[in-house]
Amino acid sequence: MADVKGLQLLPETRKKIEVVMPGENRWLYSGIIFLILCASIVGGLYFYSSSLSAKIAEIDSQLAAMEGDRDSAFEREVLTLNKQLALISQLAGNHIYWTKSLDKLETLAVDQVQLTSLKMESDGKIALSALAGNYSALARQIASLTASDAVTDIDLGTIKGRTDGKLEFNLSILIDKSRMILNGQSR
Amino acid sequence: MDRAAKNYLGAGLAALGLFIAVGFGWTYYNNVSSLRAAVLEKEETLAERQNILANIAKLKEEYKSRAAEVKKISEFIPAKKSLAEMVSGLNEIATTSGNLITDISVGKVENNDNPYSTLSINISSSGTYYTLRQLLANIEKNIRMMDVSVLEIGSSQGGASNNLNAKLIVNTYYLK
Repeated sequence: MADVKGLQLLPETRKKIEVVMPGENRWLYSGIIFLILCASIVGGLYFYSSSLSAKIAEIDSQLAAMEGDRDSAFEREVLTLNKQLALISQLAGNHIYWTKSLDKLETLAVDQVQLTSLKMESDGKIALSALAGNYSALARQIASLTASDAVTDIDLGTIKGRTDGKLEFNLSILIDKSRMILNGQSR
Repeated sequence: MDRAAKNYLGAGLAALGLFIAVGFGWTYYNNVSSLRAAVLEKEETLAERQNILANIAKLKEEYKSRAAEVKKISEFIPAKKSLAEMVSGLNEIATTSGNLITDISVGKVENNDNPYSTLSINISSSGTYYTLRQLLANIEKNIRMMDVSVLEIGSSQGGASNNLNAKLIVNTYYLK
């Protein structure tokens, strides 16, 4: 604008007058703060997630190292020993002591009776053949066996008279296993 | 920047924050939850394994200190047939008893119900009543478990001599 006698009433350039109102930038600042907050939370979660993944990888490597440290041969030995221990009492409980039954038969044998053969089985059956001097000796032998609490049953088989006067006879005996063949001396 | 633009920018930034929070944050949050559960599980497994290894180490020490007893148990019911040891044992049993073993045959008994396998040994022997009794006693006391399942005794040569012929079926066991 031209001067009027050297006096300039209006400014050469127009300047916008900005009046800052209180609370004008509130939404902008809120948006920035919210964005920073969200980014921080997401960043924190990302780093926490990464640290957890790293921890899992570390534990996995420790577990793998432990697997490598295992003594497989020793573990097999222990498992075998465990099986053996489990069987010991079962087998020892059913262990057969024929010496016990032979000793018992010795005590039950009577004079004038001579055993010629003997078959003993682990189910408690005893089959014997013997020679008796006479019927009286045979009867005493049967009575002796019958009186024993270790004998549960007796069957008399054939009795044959021999030319020398002796009697050949067979007996089938069923014994009480617990008294005659089991629970012997401890090993 | 005028006020409206600032407001739009603020809203845009807030929307971006929301997008980041929902789009990434939610995924990471779920991921963290499952990872924490996995870490806890792995830590428990690790602690359990460490405990097991520590117990195994203790067991190993005890195993070593009781090596003699373990050896006896392994001889009582061996893990394998151990035929060589069995033959050697039978020879020792016969020698110390004074009874003459004339014949031995070995066969496996099929007994699938039992948790162990059984070897059946048929033994023919000859000797006096006392050596036969000693043979039985030695079998009974043998460190490797042996059970005489059948014992047949008969006098040799029609009873003319003191010698008795005996047939024994001996069962011995090993792990399946």
